[in-house]
Amino acid sequence: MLAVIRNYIPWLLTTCISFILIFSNNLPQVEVLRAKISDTVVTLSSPISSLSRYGRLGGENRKLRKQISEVSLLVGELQSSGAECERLQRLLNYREESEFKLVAGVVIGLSPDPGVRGVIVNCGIEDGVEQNFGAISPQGVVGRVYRSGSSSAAVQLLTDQNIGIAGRTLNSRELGMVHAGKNGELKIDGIPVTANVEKGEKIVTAGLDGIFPNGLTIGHVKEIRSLEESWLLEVIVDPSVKFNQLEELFVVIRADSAE
Amino acid sequence: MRSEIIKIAVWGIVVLLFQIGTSSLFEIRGIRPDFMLIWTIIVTVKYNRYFGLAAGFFAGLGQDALMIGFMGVQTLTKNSIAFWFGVWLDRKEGKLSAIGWTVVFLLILLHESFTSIFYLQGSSVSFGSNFISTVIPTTLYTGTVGFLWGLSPFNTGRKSIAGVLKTSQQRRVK
Repeated sequence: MLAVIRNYIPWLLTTCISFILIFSNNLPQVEVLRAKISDTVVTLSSPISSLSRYGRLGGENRKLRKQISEVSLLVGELQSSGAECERLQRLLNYREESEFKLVAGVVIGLSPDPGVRGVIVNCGIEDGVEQNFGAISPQGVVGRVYRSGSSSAAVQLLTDQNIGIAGRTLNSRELGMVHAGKNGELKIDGIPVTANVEKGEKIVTAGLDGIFPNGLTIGHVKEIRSLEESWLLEVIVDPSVKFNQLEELFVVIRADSAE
Repeated sequence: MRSEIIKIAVWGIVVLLFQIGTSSLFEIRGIRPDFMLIWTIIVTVKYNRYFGLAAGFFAGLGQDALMIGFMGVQTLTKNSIAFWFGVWLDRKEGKLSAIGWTVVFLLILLHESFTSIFYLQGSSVSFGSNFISTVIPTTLYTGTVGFLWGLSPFNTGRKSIAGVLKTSQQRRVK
């Protein structure tokens, strides 16, 4: 009998450790353990992800050169508009103090759990990145920082089922909650049937959550569905960020934590 | 024996890096296979339940540390699945027949369901809709990748742990 029980002792032991871990998720020691493992994996993965990035450099260079020429044309126009704006701001005694700054991070890999939509990036507490900071890309909103180690962070993507951010339709100014539904399809909830929302309309951040500044692009209205016996519309959003092509992102650092 | 453990550990790290770094290449409509689970099952089949238990425990711990959600869930499911699958397999003398593969698919389904229940706590998405849209496709994808490994020439069948121990003892005597 004892010999039979002895066969199961290793399983009982690992199961006990697992339960201890489950019930001590909020302990700082567990967070430290997670951060240490995350940092180690990022260190090991960095050469691999660098190699894969080198392969894409040629195409990226061509694209960037084209963008530079387009941007240089714009700069000229903006410089003249900027001077005019500055003059008008001085007249109105307008003071602009930006609450946010950005920290760049390279995507090292995807979340190891296939059921969770997230990425691991190579910036962390050392760079000022903390939990619940927003993550964006030049195309728009990416997600939020779920956890950060000293040199790495786990970013939960907007397409994950466990995240929602305050959004607003740009023209009709309707406020709602943007979150992922089935199959990672993005929706904006809380839009009444009386709202004048149009297909193709831009959805931007509302700036009410303290994570994202106001006016960042989330996506565009892809489809509007009227639900039976409901006073709300089902508005499907086409995200502006191509989440499966994400290579770099920026973490939005709030001014209060940067100090 | 020590060399076998080192070999398994190195493979485990390689699979974890592969899961993080390149699993996007295998993504079909947002569904990715769980290579770490396949690796855990491979270790259980190739060696025994204790090796599988250790592999499942460390694979789960690595995934838990890197993923978004509860710490300890993957650790619990992976080590339990590996161990009890090993116990079942020992009774079948280590042979992975058609029933064995069915059991593998069911275990993957159990693993994905369990982790999904934990992860969806507080989410507006119901378990039912997630079960259809994510759990079943992930199970089928992961199971199929595992099955293909089973058919591949890399699958050299089960190694006798007694043999491994014997070789280790012989080395020590020498």
